Amino acid sequence: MKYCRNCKVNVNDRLVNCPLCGSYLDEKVESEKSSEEVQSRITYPILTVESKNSKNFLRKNLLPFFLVAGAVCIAINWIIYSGTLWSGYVLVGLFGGYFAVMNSVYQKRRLYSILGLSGLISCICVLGIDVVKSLETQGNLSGVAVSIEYIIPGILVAIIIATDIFIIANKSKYKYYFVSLLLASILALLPQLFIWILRLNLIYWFTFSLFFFSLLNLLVMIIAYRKTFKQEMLRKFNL
Amino acid sequence: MDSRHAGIRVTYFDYRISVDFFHAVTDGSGGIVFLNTLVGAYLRLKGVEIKDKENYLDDRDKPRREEAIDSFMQMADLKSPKLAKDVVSFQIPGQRLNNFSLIVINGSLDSQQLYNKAKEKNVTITQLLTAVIAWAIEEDRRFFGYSKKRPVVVSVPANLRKFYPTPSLRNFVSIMSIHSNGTTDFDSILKTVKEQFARQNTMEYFMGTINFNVKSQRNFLIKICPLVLKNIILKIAFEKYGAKARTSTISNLGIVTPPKEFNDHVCRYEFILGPQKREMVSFSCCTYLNKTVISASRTIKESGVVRLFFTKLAQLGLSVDVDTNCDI
Ligand SMILES: [Zn+2]
Repeated sequence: MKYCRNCKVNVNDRLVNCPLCGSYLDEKVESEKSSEEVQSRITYPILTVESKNSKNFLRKNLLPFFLVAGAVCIAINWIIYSGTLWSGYVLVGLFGGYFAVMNSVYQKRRLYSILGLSGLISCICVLGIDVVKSLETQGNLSGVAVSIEYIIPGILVAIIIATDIFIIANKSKYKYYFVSLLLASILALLPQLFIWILRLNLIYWFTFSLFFFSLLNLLVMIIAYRKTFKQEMLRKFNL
Repeated sequence: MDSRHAGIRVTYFDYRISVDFFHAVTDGSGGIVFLNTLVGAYLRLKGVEIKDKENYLDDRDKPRREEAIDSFMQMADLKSPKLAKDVVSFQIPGQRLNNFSLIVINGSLDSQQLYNKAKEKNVTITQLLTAVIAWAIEEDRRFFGYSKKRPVVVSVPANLRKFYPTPSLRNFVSIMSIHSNGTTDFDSILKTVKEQFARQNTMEYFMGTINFNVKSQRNFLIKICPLVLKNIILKIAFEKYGAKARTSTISNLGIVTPPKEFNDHVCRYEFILGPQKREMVSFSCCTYLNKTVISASRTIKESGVVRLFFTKLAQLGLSVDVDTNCDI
């Protein structure tokens, strides 16, 4: 054993400096035989300590940074208005970029939660772009059509089919996908419900078929996997 | 976090076997049983038959139902109120390490020597260590001139099995909060620590905390709240109320008594508290084969409090052998 005169403690022979005060150790002492024997067997995975890097700074301040960027764009757009609402598209982009991309990467989300979450986020983004475009050209919301008619149903069909495939193929972890499936199926009902309730004058062959496809699909999946589905619902929602 | 993904983690390094536990899964005494069972299974592969079943389960046994009972639910009488209120405590300043890295300094002491020292001061070992930690933090803050507005709070987990014996291996501990208000005189700190232990280390005190927790668990509104929302709400509530309630922790596992056959094969047990979001320095200790290993784990670069802690023990006349995983 080495000895630190400053701290008055014995230190493992392996170490060059005292771990407490940092003094260089050149003094040896005789200690009990048992602890001499043990010290050679006690090893640790060596930890190297690096200083903080700038990546961490960006990561911690991402949300305020995005918010400031959005606010600046709106302000510039407001001051020098030239007939376009370009800052609206920037806002939609920042929203999607933060929640669907950066957040998923930094939180190390797994595929099953990414599927449901980015489905929801991309639907909101598409709708947002459509709303901005409608405000720009018509001055009101009457131009919102193509996102509800085609794009959102398209995204949701893709997500529902992908989740189905994962549930069927991924034998051991399939139960994790149920929440994503449930979320995507509920979202898939919305376009057609909007068309019915608000009596929108839109082309509805896609939303109409999606409405019944998602209902039927959910029903089949629940019946096929009823036990695990029930467990998963109990866990997540206490239902 | 979904506890299904990270409840327990087993790792190894040279002669070392480590298990990390998520605290919702089990506590120190349950963890030791798991570790012993794992070591026992390895020893059996090496041809060592374990006959003594102390703190050990045979891995070929089927799990019994009572091992997984939630003893908090059984123990709660739902009558006595919570006695202590959480306060905002002094937080040790320092430069944080990256990615929840953990610097561990282990100090190995002769347990008989430590016991005699505690007896000489007329306190228990846990009380002595708590006082030394409180003193080290107070001394560190006096030296650097940090504000003394907030109290130093050392939390001490207590095993509830001594009040309410249970076969459960799940988490069954409650926390005592030991306060210190700015003095750096060791003997007076030791005195207040002893008084606070006498007041808090009682059935009534713990019952109040448990009742509070069990009541919130049974609250109808909390019950029907979806997990997604609950995760967010609990995170905020923890940030607001729990995170700054303590300055440091000393968790004493006590004497580890594995099956007798282990003595020829296991030379040392170490018990380390993992990195925490707010608490910068934590202490833990366990005793095995007449050696007490105190582990100081920290997530900041500065070793001030840990140095003061171990040098105080050395000043008290104890012989300390230190070792670390990080040479900075
Ligand atoms: Zn030293």
